[in-house]
Amino acid sequence: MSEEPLLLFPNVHKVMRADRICKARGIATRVIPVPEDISSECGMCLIVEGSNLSSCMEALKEENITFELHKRGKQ
Amino acid sequence: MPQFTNTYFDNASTGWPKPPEVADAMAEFVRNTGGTYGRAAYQRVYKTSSMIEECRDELAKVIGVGESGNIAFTQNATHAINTVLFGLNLHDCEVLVSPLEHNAVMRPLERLRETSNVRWKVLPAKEDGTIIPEQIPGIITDLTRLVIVNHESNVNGVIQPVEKIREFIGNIPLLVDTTQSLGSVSFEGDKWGVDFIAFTGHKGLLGPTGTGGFYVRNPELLSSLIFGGTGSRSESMEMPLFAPDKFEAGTHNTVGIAGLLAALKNRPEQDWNSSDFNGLIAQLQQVSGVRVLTAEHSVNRGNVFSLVHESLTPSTIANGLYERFDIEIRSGLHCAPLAHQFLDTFPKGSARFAPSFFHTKEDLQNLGEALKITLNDKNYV
Repeated sequence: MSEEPLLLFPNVHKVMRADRICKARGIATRVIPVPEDISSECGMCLIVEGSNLSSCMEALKEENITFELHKRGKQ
Repeated sequence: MPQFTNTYFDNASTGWPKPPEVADAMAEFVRNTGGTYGRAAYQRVYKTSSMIEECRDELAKVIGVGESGNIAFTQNATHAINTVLFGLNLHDCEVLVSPLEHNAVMRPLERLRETSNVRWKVLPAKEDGTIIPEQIPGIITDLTRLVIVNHESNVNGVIQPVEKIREFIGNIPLLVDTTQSLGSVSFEGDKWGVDFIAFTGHKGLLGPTGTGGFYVRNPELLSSLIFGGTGSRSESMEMPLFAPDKFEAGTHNTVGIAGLLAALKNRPEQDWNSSDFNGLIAQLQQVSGVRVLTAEHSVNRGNVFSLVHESLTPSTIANGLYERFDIEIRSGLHCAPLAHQFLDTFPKGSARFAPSFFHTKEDLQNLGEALKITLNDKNYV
C-alpha cells in the first residue's frame, strides 16, 4: 500500500495558513480529519498530494510554519 | 428646517448603518454555510475556518501587525480588555492610565485594586486629556507594570500619540484600546511597539455587534480568561498554551465574523472630510453658552465630540434634537466617569455626536444648524 504525507499542525490557524500558502504556490493539498493513531485532536490536518512534499516543506519553512510530518496509507 | 440624509449621530455607541454586504454575508452564512471553526474537516467546516482566518488576516492589516495568529476573537472589546487585564496576573503593582479611559478598563482595574492590590494612576495630560509623553517618566516607579491608553476618547474624540507614548515608557507593556478609533484612524501596532491591542467590530469597522478581539505581541504573557473546548489538544483537560486557541474557548461567533469580514472588504467612501468636521466644531464653539469637548488641536481629533451648555442639560439637548429633527445622539457619561471627572463635566456628562461614513457634508452643516436652533430655543432654557 502506498503512503501519502500528512502534516499535523498545532492549531486550525496554522492548518489554514499552510493550506493557503500551498495553494498560492500551486501545491495540491487537501484537508482531512486528524487520524486517531496520530493524535487525539478533533480538528483537521493536511495531506500533501502528488510529489509535492519537498516543495511544500520548503514553502512552510520559508513562512515559519512548524508542523509534524507523518505518513498514512493512501485511501 | 435642516433636512438630513441620515439622522443617526450615535456612531460612538455603535456604527449604523452597516454596508449592505454585512447583512447579506450574515444571512448567507446562516442560510447556506453553517459549520464550526476547525472542529471537523468536511467542506463546510473548511469554508468557515477559512473565512475566519481571512477575517483575522484582514484585521492584522487594519491594526498594522504581522502575526495574525496572535489575534484572538472575543465577544467585544470589553471582553478583550478583561482578558488582558486579568490574564497578566497583576498584583501588588501600579498601572498607568490615560485620563480618558472607559469603564471597560476602569471597572476591571477597580476589581484588581480590590482583589490584588493593583493601584492605578493617571498619566500626565493637557486640559483636553491629550497625554504629555515627555512627562511620563516622572510618574513611572519600580512597581509600574502596565500602561493603558484609550487611542480615541469616546467622550471628546481626542486621539492619543501612541507612538510617542511608547518612546517614553521604555519596556513597560502597553495596552491600547482602539474601540473608538479603529476604522477611522490609522493604527500601526508593530511599528509603534504596542503589546496589546483591543478592538471592537461594531463601531468604526462597521461589523455586527458581538464581534471584537485583541492582539497580543507575546501570548506567553497572558493566561486564559475563559476555559473550554478549542478543537486543539483535545486529549488534555487543560487549555492549550498557544494563541489564538488559548483565548478562544467555545464555539466562535461565526455569523458575526462573517459579517465583520464583509464589512472589512466593503468599506464605504466618505463624503465629508476633517475640514468639514472642524468647520462644524468651529461653528459650535461660537454658540453662546456652549463648551465643545474636543481636542485642542485638530490633528488630534477623531470623529467624536461632545458638548455641554451652561443651562441646558445633556439629556435636554438630546431630547430637543430628537423631537425637532429626529436626530439620534447619546447624552450622559458614556460609561466614562473618569473622563468626565477629568474634563470637569461629571456627573451630568455631555451630549455626544459621532457622524459616520454614511453622512454627507450637508448633514454635518445641518447638524450645526439644528443644534443652534435647539440651543437657542427659549422654551427649553
